[in-house]
Amino acid sequence: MTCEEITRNEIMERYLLGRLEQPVRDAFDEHLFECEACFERLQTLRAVRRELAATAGAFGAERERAEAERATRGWIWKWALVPAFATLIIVSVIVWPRVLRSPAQPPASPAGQPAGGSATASPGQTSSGQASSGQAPSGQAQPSQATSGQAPPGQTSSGLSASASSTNVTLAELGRFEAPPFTPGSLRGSQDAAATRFREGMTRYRRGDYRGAIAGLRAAVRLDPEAAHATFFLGICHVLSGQRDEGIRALRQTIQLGDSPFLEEAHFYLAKALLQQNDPAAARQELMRAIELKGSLEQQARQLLAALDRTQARRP
Amino acid sequence: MSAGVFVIGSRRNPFGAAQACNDDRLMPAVPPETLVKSALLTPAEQRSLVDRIRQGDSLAEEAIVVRFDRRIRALAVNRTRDREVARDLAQETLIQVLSALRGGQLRDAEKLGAFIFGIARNVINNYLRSRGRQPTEEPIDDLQIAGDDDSGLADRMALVRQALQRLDATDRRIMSMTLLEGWKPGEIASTLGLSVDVVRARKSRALKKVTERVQRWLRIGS
Repeated sequence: MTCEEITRNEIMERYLLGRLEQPVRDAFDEHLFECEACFERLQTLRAVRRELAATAGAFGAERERAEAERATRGWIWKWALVPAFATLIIVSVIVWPRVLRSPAQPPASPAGQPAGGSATASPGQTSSGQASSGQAPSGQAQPSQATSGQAPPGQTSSGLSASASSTNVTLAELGRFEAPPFTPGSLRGSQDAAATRFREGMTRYRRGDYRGAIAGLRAAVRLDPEAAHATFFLGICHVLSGQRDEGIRALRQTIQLGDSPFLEEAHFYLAKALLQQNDPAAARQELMRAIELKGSLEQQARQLLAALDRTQARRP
Repeated sequence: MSAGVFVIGSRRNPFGAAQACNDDRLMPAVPPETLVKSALLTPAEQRSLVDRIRQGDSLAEEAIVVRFDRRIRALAVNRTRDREVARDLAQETLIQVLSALRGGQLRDAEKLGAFIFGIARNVINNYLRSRGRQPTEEPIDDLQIAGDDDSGLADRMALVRQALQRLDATDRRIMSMTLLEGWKPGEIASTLGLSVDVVRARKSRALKKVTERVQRWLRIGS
């Protein structure tokens, strides 16, 4: 059995569903003993099934919850009608005849108009971004947006202050961010020099010593220029240390490395850095790219883009 | 690159050894990705390992264990549905494999993978027969994903989650209907109001996107 046959005949999917005849299943099992790529692909497909099942379970629960809410609303609405009818009856029978009999009164002055729709969004608006669960890949960083629900008081997880949703916010404020948390992954295989320097840098990073982390991360990048995790956190550390040009360079480098677990984060935080540099047009482009990736930062990127648009609209 | 993982074809050298020479006459006539197939071990490596084991080289024996333990456990979990039993059966298999290799029972070293698979299958079938059970053909319970240790599984799940988030909602739904509920393309097509060809193409593209993305990210991490 060849890899091509496996793909053409959807052998792997049928294997997972238990739909292969025994001789074909044996042939596929034997192929797995000879082909690393197919074995790894099968492991990934198993993980995909598991994740889809977990999501489907959540969806099912969500659907049940929505139905329960609808039922509850129906119940509340039904019982709310009782006092409403009672009131109507009382008004009809008792109050209205008295109103009709009383002398004409001048119309009452209208109550103060409520304030126009406030431009201030509800404070404490949380991001829909979810902290990634599970451990980070071996020797690899856990790219994670600022975790939802843990923003400092008055500040959203995307770094928008409570007033940032108003029009009175600067680009610099929009560009501010907290260091994305890093969770060291478990180690597999040998630790090469790049991984060692990366860990040195990230030990300082986790202590909040972003400037001190730069040396280790820079060394890791030099040793392994394609290590997206190292270029990403190097960019973050530069920006947090006030070295925006270097930070932007490193984040662009992360993006140039192509599809990695850090691609979306790199676009998002690059946008932040560009806002700090007063380049809203370029920031906008990066936010659009982050949104297109439809990852865990999509919602935060949309919020930030909306805030940026409001800020730009305010300008003469 | 982690020890024990042979991926011929890396980001830096996608065509592996075939790119080492500049003479076009020596380049493979078929596309490299078909030719190479990401073999577990090259023929030369297999021959070397088998020879060394016959001579009593314990490092070579360890290499066999590292390379094949996951696969044997995966096969055993798949057929017995029991991780603990699978571990024992994997151990039993490897003992028999090494004994057979030491005794020179493998004549063609290039068939090492098939040889080990054969022993594993026999060990598992013997166990099932002793329990009065048949090798099962029921859908695999993904709660017992075989092969990965706990940290490897968590890594893979995190990457899969990210990769799935980047898929179009309809593609995700097609994958769900296919992999979870076992729907055929025709059934999916009529439910979603798409043509069968479109469902097949989208499913294939989505699966490829997710698996390639995760494999690429796993290699980045290693």
